[in-house]
Amino acid sequence: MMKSPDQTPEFATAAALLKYFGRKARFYNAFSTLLGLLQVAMTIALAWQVATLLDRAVYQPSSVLPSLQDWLQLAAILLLRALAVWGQGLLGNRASLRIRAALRQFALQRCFGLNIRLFPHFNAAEVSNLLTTEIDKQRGYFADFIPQQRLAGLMPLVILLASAFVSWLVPVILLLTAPLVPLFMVLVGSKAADVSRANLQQLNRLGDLLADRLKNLQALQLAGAVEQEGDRLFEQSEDYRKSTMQVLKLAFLSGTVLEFFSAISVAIVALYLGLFFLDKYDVGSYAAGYGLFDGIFLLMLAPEFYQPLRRMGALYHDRSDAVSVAEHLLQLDSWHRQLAVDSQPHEVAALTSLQLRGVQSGELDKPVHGPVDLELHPGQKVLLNGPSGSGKTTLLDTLAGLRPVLAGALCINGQPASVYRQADWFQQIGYLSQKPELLFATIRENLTLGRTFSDEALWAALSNARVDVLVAALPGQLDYLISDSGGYLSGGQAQRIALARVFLHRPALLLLDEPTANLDQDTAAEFMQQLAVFAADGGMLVMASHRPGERELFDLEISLTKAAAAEALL
Amino acid sequence: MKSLSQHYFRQLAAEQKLALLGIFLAVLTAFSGVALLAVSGWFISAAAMAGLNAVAAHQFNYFTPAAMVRGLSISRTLGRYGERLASHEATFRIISRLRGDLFRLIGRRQWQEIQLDRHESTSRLLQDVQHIESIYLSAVLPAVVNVATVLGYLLTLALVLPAVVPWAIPLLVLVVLVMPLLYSRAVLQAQDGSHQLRSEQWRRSSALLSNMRTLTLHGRLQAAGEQLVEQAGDADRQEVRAVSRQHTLLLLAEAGLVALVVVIFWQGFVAYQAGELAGANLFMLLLLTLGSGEVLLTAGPVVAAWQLGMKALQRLDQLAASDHVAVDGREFVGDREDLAVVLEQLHYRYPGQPAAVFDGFSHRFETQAGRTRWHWIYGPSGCGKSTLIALLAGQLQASAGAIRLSLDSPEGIGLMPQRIDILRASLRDNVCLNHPHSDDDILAALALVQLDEWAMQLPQGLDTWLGDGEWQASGGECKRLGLARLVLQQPRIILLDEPGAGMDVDLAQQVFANLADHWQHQLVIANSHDRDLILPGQQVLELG
Repeated sequence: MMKSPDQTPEFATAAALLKYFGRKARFYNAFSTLLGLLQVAMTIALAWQVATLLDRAVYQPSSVLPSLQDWLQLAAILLLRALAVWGQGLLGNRASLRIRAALRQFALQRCFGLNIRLFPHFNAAEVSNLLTTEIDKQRGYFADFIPQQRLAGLMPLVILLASAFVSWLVPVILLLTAPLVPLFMVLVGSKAADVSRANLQQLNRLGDLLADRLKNLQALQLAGAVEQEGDRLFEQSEDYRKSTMQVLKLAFLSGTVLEFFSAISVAIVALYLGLFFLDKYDVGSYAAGYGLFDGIFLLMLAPEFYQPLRRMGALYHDRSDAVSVAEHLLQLDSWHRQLAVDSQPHEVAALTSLQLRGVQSGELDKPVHGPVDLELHPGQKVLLNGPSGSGKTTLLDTLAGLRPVLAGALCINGQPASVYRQADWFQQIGYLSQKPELLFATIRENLTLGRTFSDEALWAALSNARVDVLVAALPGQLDYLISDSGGYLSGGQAQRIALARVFLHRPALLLLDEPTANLDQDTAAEFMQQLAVFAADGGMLVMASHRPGERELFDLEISLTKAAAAEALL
Repeated sequence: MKSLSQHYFRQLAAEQKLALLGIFLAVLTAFSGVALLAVSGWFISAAAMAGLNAVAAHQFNYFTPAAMVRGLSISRTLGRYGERLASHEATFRIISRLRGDLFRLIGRRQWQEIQLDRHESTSRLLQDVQHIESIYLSAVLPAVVNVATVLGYLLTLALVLPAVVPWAIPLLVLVVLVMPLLYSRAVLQAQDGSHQLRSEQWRRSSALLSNMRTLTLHGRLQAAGEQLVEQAGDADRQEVRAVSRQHTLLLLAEAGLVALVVVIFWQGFVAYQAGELAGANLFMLLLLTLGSGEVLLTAGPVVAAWQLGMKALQRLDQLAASDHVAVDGREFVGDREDLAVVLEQLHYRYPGQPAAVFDGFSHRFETQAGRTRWHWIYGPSGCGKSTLIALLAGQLQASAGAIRLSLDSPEGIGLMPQRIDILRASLRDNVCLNHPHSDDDILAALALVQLDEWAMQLPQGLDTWLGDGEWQASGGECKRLGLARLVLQQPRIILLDEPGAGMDVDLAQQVFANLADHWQHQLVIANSHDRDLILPGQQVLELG
């Protein structure tokens, strides 16, 4: 495994990972905090201005109307406050762009560093979701939640100080209700993360189910089972809805609690002031008692005390989402680190030998075939046979490096296969699987897979695979677009295009899984001749086949038997 | 179902109780929030003025406003909670149902058509469906709340200070009518663009992952992944562009509200000086305007949200509606004991390909005296064996000629395609495919295809999960699972496309002998490139 080019430290917790990436937008966040302070200053100024104007009007009835300057001041305060909110929004967006790009790079590097080894720990839909949808949704957390988090501590403090200028009891009232809020948030928050994780799982499950059923729709259509499958999908979607509602219930509950305290504090402050004015009691003020100015000022500030917390509460589920995504990333990272530590990559020089000593491979942890011994050198052809289900495909996958060796040793040039860099090994081999994957791309792109070849080389490979006549007849020839499922190509034709791809890349070791299963006898015979040419040029070849008639064309033969004592391994 | 948008509104009507409860509670919450501020403001100003005079202070009834303040703070809180729950519950219920319905609609389309865009279909059913939520949650609900707030606000103004109503109306129109239109013009395109990019990105990533092996083996995975991440960044940028425009328009709306606050306050002062307005009402009016203003800011996205939701519905509509109406050119001439499939002067050419596969082809497959006739279509690769099966199965339509089947309807046909789809589900579900069968029947079917022993040694027997990421069945096992499905399905005419590929000859011969024994009263048409599978007494049609 290559050493990671980035210097990301090892993270102990998901929160640490989020914090690390959050720091990539430090500058934006600092500026956003300043704007938040401007916002709270303008809120205080607004209360001050309104209180002054009304106080003057009530206590000095003879005074003139507020001047133009007073009105301009009021408008300026309101506009500045709106501007601060606007600026915060823009900064948050910028920050989220930068951080999400960094997160994706991080995830990508881990995923593709792990390559095929990622599976089956992660399934394909999960990785796809992680790279795209899950990180897409982090805008809210990085753009809105993080800036708001810091302000949620600062802004109430400023409001408290401002109200302390005119009263000592009102700040005390506000302060007394305040500690209940974080306490409650922690209680809700600890549950929220679990619920959010479960929700993400439900979404993945729904995505898997959808992708799988659409991929295999034909089976359902042929069996007349589409309607019932629609019901099942509805049920899974309902499960997702229920788990989403669990998340929202908690999110709304924390919002409600904040809303409640905010409403209550307005109510208490209003009642306290009203009764104070009516001389029901006189505690809480400094020496002079309250004027209308003080009353209005305090009443306007009371709801603002909770405003930042309320906003944060509304954004809280963004945080739970972010934490569960971060946990995913953390898991990727830890696997990546394990790999990086115990592999010392060697380059594969020219392939001179392949040795199998008691190799067993299988499905999950259960071996499907008995131990295999083999020594293979350039120019040799091996036939792999055995009854259906005896593990021919599994063994080929293992030779390709796509599956782990469950028992025994696989050696390349005399060295254990695990010491080599996987990408290098892949360059040595060509693998034609039973269900060849053709990309949704042109024939040319399907053959070259991003490397450069001359048209002559492409046609030569097509001709070797006995598919040149077919391609020449297609509209656009090499530029014919193959649709996702192979389009109008028959099974045998698709397989031969995949075979042309394998020939084109000139591997040292060719792995073939039932290449002649879809070919008629004449074409199969021609194909076997091509393989003989390949081997005569110094290629190594392992081919799984059922056809007994092909036996004499091979130098060696392995007959797979079912794993006899599977339990002995476990 | 005429169109999906009609279907959506019918679903919304079905959830009307919850939907209306959500609207009622939303209006209640907005009113309570605004009124709480206004009443508190009135109360303390009135109390302060009363406090100037000992007698007035004594007579001041503070119980009513105090009770109102308490009541309003509770209704605001509970209203909000209830509204959020009710409105989300209603929306998500509709979305769940739409997902199921859309899947059924897609399932009615022709399989070949769907194959072209299955990654897209997945992303639409998973992601785009979710965008429908904005119709009710972000358009209908806030629209009603805003209209109610505007009316309530104007009514209060008319009662307290009628002189300002003409001033307020144009500013309110600006915030509640002009803003949403401007907003939708500025934001819609970017927002919808980002939705589409996300959907495209999902499609690509799922296509990439389904080609994982090829890309890995050819060292192309990293490059493909980098491309994906780059596209995700583009979608992020589009999204941020939309959100930034939202912020800017919000700023404009705020400016409109600032003008409203200043005008109301100024006119209020004029009226107060003239003795037309009580001092306490002056502060109340100001708080009322500030509070209402906060509600009215939510009007901006209403139109855009509506349009976004409708666009998502339109895209889903395209998904459900087939490009070409499936015309079944086959003739079903009625069931009878001796089954027959008759081809007359059949012509078929693949679109975009120069040569015809069949040109005036005629043949007759039939059973005699109710006994099975097993017909093999034999020939080299590419000679049209699979094409013929697809034509018989109705997957392809002949351009000329006739196919006559002695059945009442297409339901009597069973097809085993060349590639057997294995669902990510239990072995039992994979064989039954949503039809109920007893375990004994399932095991009997598996025994016919010689999979009973295999099934019993799986970790959880019939409950073992197969498919991607689960237990992988080998090529030959998949084929035999496909045959077992047909055994349980019991069709009259059975079409098998390359049923023997991937099985060794001994096994295949045994399985087909079992099946020939079992299918006593069916007509079987199978193709093969392998002569060894043909049993004595079976009919052979040689092509090519």
